[in-house]
Parts: sequence; structure tokens; C-alpha cells
Amino acid sequence: MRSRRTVIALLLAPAAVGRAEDPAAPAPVPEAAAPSGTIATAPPEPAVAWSRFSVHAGWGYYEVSHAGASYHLGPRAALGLFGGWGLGRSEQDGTLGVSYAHAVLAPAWGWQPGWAAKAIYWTQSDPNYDWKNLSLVLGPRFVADFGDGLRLALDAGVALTFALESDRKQEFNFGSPTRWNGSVCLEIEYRLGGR
Amino acid sequence: MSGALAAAAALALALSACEKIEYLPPDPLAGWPTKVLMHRGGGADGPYRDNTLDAVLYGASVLDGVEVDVQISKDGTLWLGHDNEVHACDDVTVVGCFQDLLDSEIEPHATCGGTEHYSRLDEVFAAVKLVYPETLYSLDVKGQYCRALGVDEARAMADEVARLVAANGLDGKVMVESSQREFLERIVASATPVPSFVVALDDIDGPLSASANLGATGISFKYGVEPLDAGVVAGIHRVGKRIVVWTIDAPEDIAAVWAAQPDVVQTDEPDFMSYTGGAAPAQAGTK
Repeated sequence: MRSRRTVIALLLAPAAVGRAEDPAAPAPVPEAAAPSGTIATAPPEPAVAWSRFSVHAGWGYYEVSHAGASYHLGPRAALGLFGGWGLGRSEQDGTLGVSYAHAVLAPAWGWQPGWAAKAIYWTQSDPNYDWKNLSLVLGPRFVADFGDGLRLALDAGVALTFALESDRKQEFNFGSPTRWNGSVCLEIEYRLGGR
Repeated sequence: MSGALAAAAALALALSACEKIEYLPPDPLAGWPTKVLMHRGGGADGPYRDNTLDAVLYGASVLDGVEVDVQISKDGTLWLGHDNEVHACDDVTVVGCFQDLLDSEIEPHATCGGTEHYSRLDEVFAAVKLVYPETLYSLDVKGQYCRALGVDEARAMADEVARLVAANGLDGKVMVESSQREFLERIVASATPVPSFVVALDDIDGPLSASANLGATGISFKYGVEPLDAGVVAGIHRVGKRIVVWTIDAPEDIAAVWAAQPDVVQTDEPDFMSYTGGAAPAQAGTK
């Protein structure tokens, strides 16, 4: 019996990268008005008051097609939740995961380096088994900031997978989740708030 | 690192990713004619204390073979024993753990009131090779949990098993069961022909894959945790592995397991064969 393709759409958090300031910090106080009789200068551009929340969607090897939301703990760290569902040829049914992403060093050539760790619960039903598995993924992460709160995040890492539960439906094929595997994930993120 | 490099690294990882589920490839073999081994030497309710030379000699006299549990002392000597702890003759007082005790500290508790309490594997092999040289002996190699992870002990146990098998000319007559990866890797890597089985406590599938990854002979399956019938056994043989089933004592279980044709069955029941319902089923080997 195939498992229900129930998926919760929540999402991963890309690191708050490429920002010189904490986006959650209060906007800077404007300078004092110019004295009377002098030529007034243009007022400074008001700082963008980004929310601490972002949403994202993308595709990953274990995440499959997914969407979710993140809470940015600071300018460099974010905690996310996401849910996904298998599309196309994927036999993976559903995914529910948590993630932590952290930016490190300074952006280079438009990409902010960092790392990400994820715990992904996923189910799969195929003619041989019904699976409930847990994958732990750790690896580098790179984020490109397109401005206006829009970013592209790419992470690739090593996945360690355990079978939480398996129900073999036949007596012919025997298998288990690949213990160590590669994983890659591409996401579009939109930071809530701002102009 | 440039974006191009990052993308290339990610692409390389993606391309190197394997299937999420690994299925064992077909490698059919013929099942052994089912061998029935007496559990813990002479059975849980046998006339002798379990895991002793007397129990082994008794078990070997009534069934196809014997299963015993094995521990290692601080001297690297293999002793028969189910628990890591060595008990005094009152069977209550704990003297210490095998792995922490010298042989000289275990030996005072080896005989109690003129009866065997603990036996060494080397003396067991020395005796059985003379009396029952064609019998199958299975060593259940226990994890060493008294201290550390027991990795060194696991390797030492594998080396000592291989040495004793070779020294006593018991090639092919001794098999091992364990859940210790270090032990199994070591014994598989040794040149000594000792069939090796991964202990399967919760299910068949994970240990079967582990057995394949380790190059072990098969799995040692705790009966009852999931259904077992002739189809499952045939499926395991189809992927080139064997199965040991334990511990089968109830008459209805004996009949059911016998019909499934596993390679080895362990029992505490000396009259096992009287509950099988007759002759062994035909073996459906393919190689």
C-alpha cells in the first residue's frame, strides 16, 4: 500500500549573507537637519527593514521539490523548516526537514560561502518496499544575492541515511537506503519585508 | 571560490550520488541442507551448565552441531560465556568483566564443586576435533561493553578465532555470528574459511545489506521479529546469502521454520527433529 503523499510546505533558511549589517537592526537615525540658510542636502536613503523571515522553494536530491520558511537568527545564521514532494520520475513521496545554514567569510565573485546542515525525514514507496528514512546532510553552501530580497542558494553535501521503518512487500528483492551518498540542493529565497 | 567553482562542485556531487535505495544484485546459491544446532552448547534446559565443554559434547551428540557464546579475557584468551561479566560460583557475585580479567583471575571460577563453570574455547576445540570432527560449531561473538568500545577486543577475537580454527583443523566446521562490524570485517579478511553471519535482531533487510557490504556469508536472524517462510529464505539465497534462525523451541515454530529451509537453525530442544514432520524438504538450490 502506498503511503499518503502528504507534504507540508515549510522551508529552509539560507544564511543571511552579503549584508554588511544585521537586517533586523533598527534603521539608522538620520543626521540633524542642516542649519537655516544653508542648502539642504538630499535625505539619506532609508534603510530597508527586512523581516527576520524568508520563504524559499527549490529542488534537492533528498529534499526533492520543496518549499519552506526560515527564521534568520542573525546576519549570518538561519533556521529553516521545509516540506517537499516527489515530482516527475522520483519515487520519493514526501519530505519534511529542518535546516541550519551559516555564512562564513566574505562574499567572493558574488557568492557568499557558508555551510548548511539538514535533517530530512523522507518516505518512499516503490514496488519492493515502503520506506521511512532519515537523512542527515552536511556540506558547503553558496548564496548569490540578486537584490530586493531575492537570492539563489546552492548547497551540496554528504548525506548519511538511516531506515527508520521499512515494509518489504515481496520476497525477491532486498535492499536498504544508501548509507553514504552525495546530495545537492538548489533554492530560490525571498526575504520578507523591505520596500 | 567563484560561483562557477561552487556550481561545478555541486554538480560533481550530484552526479556522484548513488540511488537512494540500494538493492542487492542477484547471485543465486544453493541452500545448505538445514543444520540444527544446540543453543548455548547443550540447550537452555539441558543437563549441563550452558556454554561449557560438557554442554558442547552433549549438544554435539544429539544434533547436527552446537552454538556457543564467546568472550575474550584480558590475556586474549577466548572463553565460553553469554554475559560479559564473570560470575563467582554462586552465580550472583560478579568477579569482573572478561575483558578486564586475566586468565588467572577467571580460572578459580572455572570449576565449581567439581562441575564446569567456565570453559576455554581452545580446550573445547581440542576435545571436539577428536570426538565430533564433522560437527558444525557456531560462535556467537558478543560485544564487549564493560569499557570503551571494544574495538581492539573485537579484532583480537577475530584473530584468535581464525588461529584456533586453523590450529585445530576445523576449516569449514566453525562459523561465527556477531553484530560487531570490526569483528566481522576482520574475520572476513582472514584467510581462514569461517562462514560469518551478521546478527539480525530487528529485521532482515538492513542486516542483509550489511552482510553484503561486509562480504559476510549471511545473517543470523532472531525468529519472530518479522515473518519468515520458504519464499524469504529462497529470496535470501537468490542474492547470494545464507540465513541462520534462532532460537526455535516451540513445536509449532519448529515445524514452520523447518518448512522454510533455512541454512541453520538453533534450538534448545534436543528432540527438535521429532517436531519437523518428517524428512527435510527438498532443497531448491540454483548453483
